[in-house]
Amino acid sequence: MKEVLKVINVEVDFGGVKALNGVSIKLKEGEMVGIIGPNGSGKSTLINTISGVFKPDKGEIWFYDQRIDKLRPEEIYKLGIVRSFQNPRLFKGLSVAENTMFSRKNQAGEKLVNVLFGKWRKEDKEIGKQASKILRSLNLIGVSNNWPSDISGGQMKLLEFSRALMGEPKLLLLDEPYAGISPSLAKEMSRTLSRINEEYGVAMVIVEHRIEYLFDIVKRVYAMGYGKVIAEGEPDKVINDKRVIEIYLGF
Amino acid sequence: MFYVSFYLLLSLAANLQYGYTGQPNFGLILYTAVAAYSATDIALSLELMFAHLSIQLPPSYSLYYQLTVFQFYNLLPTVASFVLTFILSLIISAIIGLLTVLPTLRLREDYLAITLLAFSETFRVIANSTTPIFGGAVGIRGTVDITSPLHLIGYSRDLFYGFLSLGFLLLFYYLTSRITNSPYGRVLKSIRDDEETARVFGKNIYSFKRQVMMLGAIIAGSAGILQAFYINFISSDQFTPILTFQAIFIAILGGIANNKGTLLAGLIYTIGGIELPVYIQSYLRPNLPFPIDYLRYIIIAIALVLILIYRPKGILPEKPIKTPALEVIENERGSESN
Amino acid sequence: MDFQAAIYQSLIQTSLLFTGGIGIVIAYKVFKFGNFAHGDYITVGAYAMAIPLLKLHWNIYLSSLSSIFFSVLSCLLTYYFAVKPLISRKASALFIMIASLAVGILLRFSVYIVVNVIDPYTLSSVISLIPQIVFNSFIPVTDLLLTSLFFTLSLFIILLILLIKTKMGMEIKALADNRELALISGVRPGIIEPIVWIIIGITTGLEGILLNYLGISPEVGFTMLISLFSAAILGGVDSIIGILISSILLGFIDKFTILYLSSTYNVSLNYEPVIPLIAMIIALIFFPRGIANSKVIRKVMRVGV
Repeated sequence: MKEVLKVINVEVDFGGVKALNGVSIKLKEGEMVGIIGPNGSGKSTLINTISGVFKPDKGEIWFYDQRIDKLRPEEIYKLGIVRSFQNPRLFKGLSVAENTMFSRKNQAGEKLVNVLFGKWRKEDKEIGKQASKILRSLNLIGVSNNWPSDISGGQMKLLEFSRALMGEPKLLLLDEPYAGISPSLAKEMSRTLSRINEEYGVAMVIVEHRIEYLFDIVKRVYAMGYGKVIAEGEPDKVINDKRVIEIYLGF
Repeated sequence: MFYVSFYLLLSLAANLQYGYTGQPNFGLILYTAVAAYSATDIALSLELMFAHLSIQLPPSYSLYYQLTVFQFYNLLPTVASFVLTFILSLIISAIIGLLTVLPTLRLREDYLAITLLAFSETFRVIANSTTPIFGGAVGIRGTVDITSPLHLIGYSRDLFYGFLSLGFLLLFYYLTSRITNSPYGRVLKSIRDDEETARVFGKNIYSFKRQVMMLGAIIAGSAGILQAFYINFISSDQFTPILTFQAIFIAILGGIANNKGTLLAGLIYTIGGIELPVYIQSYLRPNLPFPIDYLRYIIIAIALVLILIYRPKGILPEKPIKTPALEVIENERGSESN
Repeated sequence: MDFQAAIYQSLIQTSLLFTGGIGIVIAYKVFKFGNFAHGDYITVGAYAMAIPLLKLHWNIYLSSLSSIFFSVLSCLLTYYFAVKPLISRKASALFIMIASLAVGILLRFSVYIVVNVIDPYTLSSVISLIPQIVFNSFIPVTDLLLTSLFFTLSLFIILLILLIKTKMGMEIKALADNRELALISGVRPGIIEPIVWIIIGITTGLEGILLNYLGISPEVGFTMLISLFSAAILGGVDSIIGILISSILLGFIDKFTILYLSSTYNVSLNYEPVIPLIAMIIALIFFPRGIANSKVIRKVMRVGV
């Protein structure tokens, strides 16, 4: 199994405050890994840095055998890393189906020349089939024609995933996917995430501070605090680690 | 009939730029103005050249008289001028569209709006103050008129231009629909809704913005060329921001990102808002102490605010873009519920 | 080139830019949108002074009050008719901006109608006041110069004091900086927001008074809009100090350039509007966040106003 992601000693400095102070994580293809930590520990910053929103002041980030820490977010997206947002950033004027199809890369129909000469329609049917498959597997096919404002919060999260999956990612960075979800829906979410991982073989980094939800689905967790990784390993071992308990108690 | 097409062309451009792509172009009329001046000047220059007369812009009375006579008797060169002018002026519109969008690519909507407005107003001021080429405050009387050698006058002339502009309207409506009812249109909407996220997903938003502004410029420009030929007189006060405002009003009224809605709203506006008041003014209140246009603008201004508050989606709502992919999904959805 | 004239006109232009543009800055600061009706408040004020002055033979002070009164009315109209309903519906700044464009047109053509009804020939283009020279020094010191500088300086000082020292000023700042927090903390938007618009109205009323010296038409405010936005943007769009600096810069650059070009190269004065356009483009390219927000100024000034 190849290593899909390697973050090596990354530091990110925000005007004097080190949001990330030497963070190293790694991930194999198809693996699901959790990142836990209290608010302010640097979890979101880590996601932002991997996805290219922030540039590390020190350290390296590797995606397979390509160095990505100096790339722009859109370039990183093109390589196959997709992230979700804590507050779903869906396009309000596009339906569920359209939001999904949006992320597919290299669509002929997005080039003006092709549109004028109508050279995109055949490929578009394939795109439709792929989108249907994804929407069906996430149980969104019934609302495919709805606007994002007309679906539930949980469905919005799933829509973010379906949009992400359409981009054929090799690595998904999920920023607090359980945020704002009721406990009953959370079980559903865990099942969905596992299913996505199995069906599409996509590696996942799941940032979450509600630790309970992660333990059903990840086999390995990193615990962060004060911009550093303070523990790593199997979920039960990590939450019982003294240093981790300290960090959480301190908040 | 001409005016309906004129306003509708402008509104199509506005809908494309603002309704679909979220770029509020308060200076839309610039492209109309530039195209109109280009059309007038290029047509005059070509025709004067064909007539072996000296080229002078604006032409003196005697030159103009000679030109009028020449046009009347010479079909072929006049047609040539006419057609060449159209092509060249449309190209110029596209170029100006590109030039005006370049400084605004990274700007926020309000900065974009004021910059584009500044471009259009500054052009108007320059045209108003420069006599060579632009005719200054007086403007340029007369240009090449293809109905002259075709011996169409009065009503038939109006019909000719009416159909010509209708033809352009239908052409651009078809093109715009083709462009927007596709994944391309989807990306435009995403730029409108959340430009940053669209960029993160790898779409080259600058490229899309450039293209959309150029397309809008071509459409708005065509309106200007048609106007220059039809009215046969051009001056800078024909191109004021109030025209841009009316185009935006129609685009919003009809439903943003809905070309059919734009057409519908345009028809309602030109017939109900322009033809009707003229009728009212001439028959019922001939003694109105001010042009009825002023009232019209006030009414649509109030209407626009009310629309933005109570029904921002407009008359015809936005719908998902019908693409083959969507149909596939629809079928799947249908079979799912069985 | 006539340096005296250039300096004189530059000072007046500076005052015009500041007095006219400060309202745009305030609207941005508190309501977070670009107000395209702003120029038309100025037009309304200008005519609200010119018509009584010329047609009703009011004295100058009463007519000036009329300018302020009607400008304030226009601002309150904007607030109650367009801005407040849109804010309560959580409309985006873009929507509010377009609505402001509409309100501007509403105001402008109302002025057109009034002018047409009363006296289209005179009022379409009129100068109601002639600057009188109060005393002569290096530059002719006219009542216009004194009035405009007085308006500018007092507005600047009063607004700074208001925002920094008074309770109401702090409430305004709170509303501007963090609306949710301010509302929770007990700031009452129903009172503060109209007050802000009244302030904007006063500034545009003052501008209308000044314009009566220079010549007005129903388009006068809208025509100034571009220069005013330039000054506001260059100054950092929500900074009072910023617009003061940019008004000085732009005022002098504008007048010196056009007077130089006109005296040396015979460039017509009609081309003057090109200068603010170029200034604005340069500002947007090199100072996209305005001078006040550029790093140098940020280090020097920590006021945050």
